[in-house]
Amino acid sequence: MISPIVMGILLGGLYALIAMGLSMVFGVMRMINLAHGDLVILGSYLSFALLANFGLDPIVSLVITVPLLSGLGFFIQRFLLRRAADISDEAPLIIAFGIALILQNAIQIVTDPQSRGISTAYSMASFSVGPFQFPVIYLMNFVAALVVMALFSIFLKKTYLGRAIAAASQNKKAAQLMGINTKNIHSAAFAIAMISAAIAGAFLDDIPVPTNIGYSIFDNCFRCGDHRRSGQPVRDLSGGGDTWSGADPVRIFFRIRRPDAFRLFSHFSGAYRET
Amino acid sequence: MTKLTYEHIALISIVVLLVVLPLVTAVPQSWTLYVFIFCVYLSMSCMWNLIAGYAGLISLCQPAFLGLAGYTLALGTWIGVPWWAGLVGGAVVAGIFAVLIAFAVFRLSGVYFAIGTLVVPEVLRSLFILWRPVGGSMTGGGAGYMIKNISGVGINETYWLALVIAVISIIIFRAVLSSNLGLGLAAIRDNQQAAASCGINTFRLKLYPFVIGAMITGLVGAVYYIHQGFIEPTRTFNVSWTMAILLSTVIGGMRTKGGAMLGAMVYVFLYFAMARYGGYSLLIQGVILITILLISPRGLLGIFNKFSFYRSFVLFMDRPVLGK
Repeated sequence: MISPIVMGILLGGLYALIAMGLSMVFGVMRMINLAHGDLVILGSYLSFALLANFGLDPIVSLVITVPLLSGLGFFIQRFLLRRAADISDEAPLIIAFGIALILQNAIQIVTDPQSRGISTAYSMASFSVGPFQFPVIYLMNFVAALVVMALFSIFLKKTYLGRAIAAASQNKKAAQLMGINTKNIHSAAFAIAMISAAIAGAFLDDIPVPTNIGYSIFDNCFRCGDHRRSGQPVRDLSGGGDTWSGADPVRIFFRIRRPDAFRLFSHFSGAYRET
Repeated sequence: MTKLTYEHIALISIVVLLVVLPLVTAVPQSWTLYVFIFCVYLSMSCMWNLIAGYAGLISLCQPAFLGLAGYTLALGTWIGVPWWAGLVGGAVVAGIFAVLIAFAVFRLSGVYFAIGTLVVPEVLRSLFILWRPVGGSMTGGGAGYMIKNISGVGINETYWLALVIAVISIIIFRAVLSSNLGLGLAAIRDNQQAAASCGINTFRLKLYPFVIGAMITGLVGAVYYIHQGFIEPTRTFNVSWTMAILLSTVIGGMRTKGGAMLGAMVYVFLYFAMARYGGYSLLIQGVILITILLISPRGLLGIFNKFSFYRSFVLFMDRPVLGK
């Protein structure tokens, strides 16, 4: 009984990391990035390809995948989403649908639709706490997620860009009045969300991942986050701990009655009153 | 009563042609299947165009309606309900479900409404993976259910059913647009507060197209599952249905009268023309979706509208045949 709980908490760290990127995009751009899970999978497969072809360890391969994915994110925001946002409210959502379709199938064409796990030196290792055994990779995922989230918290509080992102997500108009170029902030936020996606993808590699899991990752993580504000990564962590067994979406049903989910919904109605 | 226009004559003759299509032996059997799938997507995207395009409710829970109706049909046939009663019952269940969730999701607006509806099919999928109301442990749950006692219903019968539903959905769509309801919906879409302050009951007005859309989607979904012969939760409550509906509406042209028709045609063409290439088909659909949306937010019809011969064609089609 203890073992699955601990494993759930450890895996939840990874989900929280993914949810943070999702939450960042939603908080700043008010857009549901349906393609986020697929972008994470893209990062994951890039790392896999680097390992399979060049023998790079997934953690080392971050040096390549992080700039690649954040560049892609910047491109997507700049040339697709920004134009879509001018068209109508629902257009960015439809674009995200399209990106998800393209990514998911492109990955399936390039590789093949079977799931795969990576065998690195540490992927089969385990450690024991008392009578319980845990895989080392789960602990690594968790620690990496914590570190990345701590770094993001510092980034959001201490740097100009981070504070501008937080400002733009809290009140776009006020941020504009303070001289923040919110359009550039949107691109930056998307690129940063992609950095977290690349990192999460690399750590996801140690768990066998089929190509079409992107949507369900999105879905699980979407329910993890408190999307009121980006820049509060710890909130995302508290909602994490999902695994992708089929029964999970039932949880939203129960989450509605939980206080944090109630906050989410009261926020929805609050935003509705604002508009 | 509106006048009979050339457009009506064209549509009626197309419908008559489609009705006799399966009876003509020279026509290959596969055409029946193409038109059947076309009718299924046409009804769904027609209703989605009404809900999302005209009423401004980006509903992403259409799979919930068609799945619930399909499950009502399937479970009904297991306890001896005839399939036609299952169809009607499925539509009613989908409608009731739409009313129930409306109380929750209508409190949200814009992109929040989309989020609120997106999770509904996910919840239902989990529910139906766990729930086995009839049959032994070998059926139900993730394995899904056969639809029993449909030996008398062949491809021709489901074809005609889908055709009738598609025609009904187009009639409802046009009737709503030319009615006070359509005007009220446009008012709500443009500014809900202003509409409410003009004395429009926004909740009730939004509820009508939502429930009508749910019922038609459910009905045609149940017909689709008669054709398929079985139902299982993972592919039923799947976001791919939402994508298909979205694609055919957006490609044809959201917020246009004929958009759903054109879009469903293009979608079914792509679906079958590239079925052999598997993943490439969906990849190209994604590219088309993004390209069309960015080039022309009103879809293919928006592009056509830039050409003068198309505009004069539309004017000609709108002209009444008899009288002035």
